[in-house]
Amino acid sequence: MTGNDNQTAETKKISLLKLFWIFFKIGLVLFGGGYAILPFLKSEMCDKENICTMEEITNYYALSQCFPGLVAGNVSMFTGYKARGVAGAIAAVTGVCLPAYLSIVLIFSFLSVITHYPVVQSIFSVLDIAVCVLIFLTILELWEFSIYDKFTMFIFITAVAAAMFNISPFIIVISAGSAGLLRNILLPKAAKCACSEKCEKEAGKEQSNDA
Amino acid sequence: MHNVLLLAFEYMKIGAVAIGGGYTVIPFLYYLVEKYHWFNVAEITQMIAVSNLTPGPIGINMATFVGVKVGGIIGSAFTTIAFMIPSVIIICCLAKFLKKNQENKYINFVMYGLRPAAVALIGVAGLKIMNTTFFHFEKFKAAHNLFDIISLKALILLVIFTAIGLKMRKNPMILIVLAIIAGCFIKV
Repeated sequence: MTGNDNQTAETKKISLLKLFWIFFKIGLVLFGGGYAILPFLKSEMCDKENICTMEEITNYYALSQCFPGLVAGNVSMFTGYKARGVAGAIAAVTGVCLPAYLSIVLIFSFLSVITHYPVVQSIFSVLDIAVCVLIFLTILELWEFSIYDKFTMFIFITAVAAAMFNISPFIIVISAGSAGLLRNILLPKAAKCACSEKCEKEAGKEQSNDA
Repeated sequence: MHNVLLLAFEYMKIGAVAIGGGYTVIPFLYYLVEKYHWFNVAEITQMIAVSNLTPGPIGINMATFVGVKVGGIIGSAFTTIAFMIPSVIIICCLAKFLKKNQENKYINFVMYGLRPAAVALIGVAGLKIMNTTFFHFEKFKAAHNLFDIISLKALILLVIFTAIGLKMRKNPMILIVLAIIAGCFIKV
């Protein structure tokens, strides 16, 4: 979680305009709600710009579910804040929301015509498949640093079951967070560490000390 | 103009309480219909459909839609901005707090529990989309043909998209563009 901080503070200072443009692009390809934002955030902010880690984005995503506002908007703000503080957060959220705003303003006048075109409907059913693929590929990547011991596996399975039964994500996220906190306070020894990246680092340190 | 300001104020209230994304706004829309009669229930259904078809977060699509309906383009700008203001303030404060307390071990304990829950929520969101695209239970009920339950074309596309997606991990946007092109020619 702390790996890239010094680096981002010193060497990386992305311009607000660039930040806005990245999020505008993400907003343009975001179909079917905000859930699909993660793969794009990962490719733009982790791989290309190296502003935050995948682990942080996953944290942001979980937190976004339990605070007011849109999930996609909130995740964008967290990431934008990480890059450039409050101004970055505003640039990011404006970027991600602007395509949504413009598209509705533009098509409002000939709306009823558009939705009845069969081509439009078939485009969107194919898009749904692509979005599914993106979501599941993202999960594969999130897996290794989110679910790495029995307890996190337990939380994952419980949360899937709860979400399937339409329990509010708000409740799921709050309970998962409290469970993580309680588990590490009550069983400090059993918990190897709370954060996989730190875990690796500490393991590395120990090894070098041994040597 | 009076209507626009009133709507913006109502939407700011919605923005302050709608937790968990765009769909949580829908019940508030019904409440607006009952209170102000700016639009009707049938239009809400149309709004949801259109918001699903347009790019961007669904909540913004719907806020813009309501705004245009009540107060034209100016109305839509007011509504959308008012809708975002509460979450901008809240998230900025929270992000600041997190930045200050990065090393705090209790926050890391909470995150340890949060991450698997986030993965689960994303996964279930994906499953719900899958449910509507791959399974056609109505068709099956109509024709009683087992092959109608699962859409074969959708499955083939799923395999192709997964292959492309794995190759193009660095550039997921390409997959969206390809899907739009494919959608012009293929009916699922």
